[in-house]
Amino acid sequence: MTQPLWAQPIESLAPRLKTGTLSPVALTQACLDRIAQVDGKLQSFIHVSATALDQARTAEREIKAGNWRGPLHGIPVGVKDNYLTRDMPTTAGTVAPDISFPLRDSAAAARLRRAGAVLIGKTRTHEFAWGNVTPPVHNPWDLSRVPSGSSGGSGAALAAGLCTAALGSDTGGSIRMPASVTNTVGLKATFGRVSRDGVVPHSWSLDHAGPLTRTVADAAHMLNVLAGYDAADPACQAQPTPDYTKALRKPIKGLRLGVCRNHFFERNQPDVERAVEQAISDLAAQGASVHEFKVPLLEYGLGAIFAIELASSTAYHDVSLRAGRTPHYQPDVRSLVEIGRFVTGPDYLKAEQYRAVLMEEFRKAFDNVDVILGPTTPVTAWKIGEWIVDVGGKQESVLAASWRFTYPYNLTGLPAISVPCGFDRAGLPIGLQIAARPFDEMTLLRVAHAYERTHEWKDRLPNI
Amino acid sequence: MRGISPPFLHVPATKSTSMSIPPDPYRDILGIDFTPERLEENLAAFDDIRREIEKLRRLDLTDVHPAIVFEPTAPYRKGGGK
Repeated sequence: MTQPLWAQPIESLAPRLKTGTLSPVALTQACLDRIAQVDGKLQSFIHVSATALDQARTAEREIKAGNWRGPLHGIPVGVKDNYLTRDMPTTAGTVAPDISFPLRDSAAAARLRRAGAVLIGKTRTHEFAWGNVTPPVHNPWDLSRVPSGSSGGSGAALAAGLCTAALGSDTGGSIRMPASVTNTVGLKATFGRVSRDGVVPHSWSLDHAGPLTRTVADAAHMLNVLAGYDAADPACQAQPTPDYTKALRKPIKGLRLGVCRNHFFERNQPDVERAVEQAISDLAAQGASVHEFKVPLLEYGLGAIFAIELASSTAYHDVSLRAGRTPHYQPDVRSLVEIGRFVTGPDYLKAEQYRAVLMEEFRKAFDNVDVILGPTTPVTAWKIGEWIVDVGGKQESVLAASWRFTYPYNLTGLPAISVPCGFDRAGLPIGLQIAARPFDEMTLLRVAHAYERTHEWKDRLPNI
Repeated sequence: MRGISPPFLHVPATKSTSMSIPPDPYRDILGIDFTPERLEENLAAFDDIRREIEKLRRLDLTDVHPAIVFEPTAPYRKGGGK
């Protein structure tokens, strides 16, 4: 059965948009109708573009005139509300007084516009992209549960068919965690691969910009547009930008799959562990070999990322802190911004020293493997308002558990992707995380696609 | 080394009386100016994180250069990929 327009991926829409058998206006209207129909329940958009249909009409005219710009031409994309946009307000999720952001395009928004995408609206972020939830957004797979965060608006909107792709940002897992709990694909490319110019900073050396998509092929299409050097982002690197879609459909026979048995497999919900072990077996069955290893140093990672993230975020918010604006922040964000003051200079630099050693440990691991596989999150979507979760029989704070497997790749800057790999017995999505060497997104996408094309998880839709 | 000490290293004579009042470690040293109640709440919220940072402090990383590179040519980079 053909899926409705709003549920289809870029890879199936783009050829029809190119040939004119599908109108960008019809596609955009389908998403706008879907927003009108279900976003009252989801709350995933904070702003819907007043010009979305105009953008779609422009795309239609250009395509009809023979000026097809590429696979994103006429595709409705949701933009996380911490990316600056010239025609839509940016709030970064805050209502605190005397904080405003300019009306100009971030590098990512500008690249998407040049590719002909329709920027359909701004998706909700948790305030200043902090945290692992995105209030007031609900998860379309179970409205009583969180879509995780901080790109939870993008995850929820995409999963429910309110846009065809979305932008997220990822400081400790904020693209991959929402992707994992909403049955979508989330790609955090290598630090320096995608410009963060015009993305409201959270923690300068941890922040990544990137896409959430329905499929791995769609992630490759988005990365083709987003990747590239930008002098306006001091971390951006002038590395070659291949055509990432060429990574797709390549066999993985002979590739070496790494499985880091400590940290990533020490405590998971049983259904998560089962699904991920099955995914590893399924990939091995395609002719890849599995190599297990350990990185004992990961035991110190949580302290390191907290030291860096808290100190950086507090430095960014220092003026607001001194001006007495933080009491207007959401309570959890206020606490995190304020307690960053307790992190000392030596703590911060010790964390950066640790980071150098951790990067070296992963480099050694990549001497023997081509990718590293594991769960994206140890838990599936938790209930809204729940701060303690059961993880493998142990009661654990959401703050500690949720990002345990994603933050190592922010500390190391390695590319990582979350791909749907099943559902738990409550019908909630589970994500498989794949990481690769720096700037080796090709291998990352190759393995992710090899898994995705032999499973049907991506075709399941939430009943909303 | 005479003549190069920056002014902030010289303690003005008028400050000498302040020596009788020890500086508040939170307010005067760390620049934290929360109410006592808010300070207590934040210290409680920081407790689990503090334990993790304490673990990190126990590592001997003396010979490791931090993962930070000072790059003096950054302001001179031109062009871009926007």
